[in-house]
Amino acid sequence: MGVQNEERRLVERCLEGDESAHYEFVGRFQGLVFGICLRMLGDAHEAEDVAQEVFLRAMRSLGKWDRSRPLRPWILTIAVNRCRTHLGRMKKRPSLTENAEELPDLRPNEDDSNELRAELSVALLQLREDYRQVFLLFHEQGLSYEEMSEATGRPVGTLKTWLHRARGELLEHLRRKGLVPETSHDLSGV
Amino acid sequence: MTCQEFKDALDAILADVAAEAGPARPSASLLERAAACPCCKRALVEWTWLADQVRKLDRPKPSADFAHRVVAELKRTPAGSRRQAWADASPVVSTLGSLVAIAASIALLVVVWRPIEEGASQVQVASVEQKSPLERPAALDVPVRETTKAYLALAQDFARTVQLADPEPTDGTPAIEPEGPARDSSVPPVRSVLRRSGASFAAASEEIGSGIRPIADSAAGAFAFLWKGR
Repeated sequence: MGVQNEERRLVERCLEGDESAHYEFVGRFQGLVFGICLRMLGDAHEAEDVAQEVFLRAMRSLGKWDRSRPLRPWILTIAVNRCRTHLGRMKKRPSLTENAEELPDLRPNEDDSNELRAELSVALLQLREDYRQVFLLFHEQGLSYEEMSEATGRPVGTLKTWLHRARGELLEHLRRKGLVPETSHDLSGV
Repeated sequence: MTCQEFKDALDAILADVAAEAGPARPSASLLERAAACPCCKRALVEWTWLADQVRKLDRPKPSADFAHRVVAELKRTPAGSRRQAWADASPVVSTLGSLVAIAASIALLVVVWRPIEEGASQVQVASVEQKSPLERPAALDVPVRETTKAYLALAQDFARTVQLADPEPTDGTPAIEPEGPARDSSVPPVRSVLRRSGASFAAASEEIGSGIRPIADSAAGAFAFLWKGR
């Protein structure tokens, strides 16, 4: 509740035109917005452009924000929508990630955990756009099904299905690369 | 607990893991049930592992001046500015623009179509004028008369040409008849009618029962004859 009050005050200050509040607003959510943009788009420059667009839209629409709801899912909704619009535009251009598997792997030798992280990032980019979006909102941004439903405009059942498929595809990708540990019958490590 | 129920329960755990709400661990009863089902156990282990890996992914941050750029852009085009208002109104403007373009196209079609239609009617009038002068309606009387004059001028020219180029032989050989449809013998030759009575073309036309143009054509020969007999 404290966080929500804090957010409400921050929004009021932004609406009053307080420049320091603008900086605070961006600083508070930039990691969240840039993170989802980068994971969705796969390119840091494009992610920054879209993130900037997200903040401009959000800050210009702060007056429309329902103060009874948390601010974070609202901003994520804008970010997801902007990413989808951007991806729609990108589909008209040749994609670099489409042929990612055909390109030679020029990455330097990494230890297992780095390799795993790199492969996971690649696998995320290869997921279908809907699956990727739901997976990131759920696992990376920690939104609930209800919040995701609100952000994406999809029913909860659909989101659960997409999430399930996203997990399956990610695990399959990592399994092909030999990066998924063998499952033992011992659950003590869980 | 079925596999689906297990997966639902697992989703809740994974949500806690993802939200970094603490070391989310399956409850003892869940583990006990999962252990009894290879499918559930595998899912539990793999999905928990995956969620942990996603959580460990680097949290990317934008460039250091990102906030400055956003605030500067916000100041440059504040809400309610002309540019922003244009951006907000652009869908409406584009719709209106499309409507205006359609209306302009229709207007252009009308403007272009009308002269085409008028041109077509003029062509129809012209085709009427090209008919035999005697077949023309009375409304076209004046142009007919003008045409007749033109025919006469043409006939005179023709007569001169014939006289110069093809004089009738004087050595008793028959004159070469000009090529053309065979003349009806019941119709008296125009040149004799004209010479005999000095009739006008109209009178000759009435007498012969022919149109003015054939008479004018014949007049060419008549002129040639008269010219020669001069």
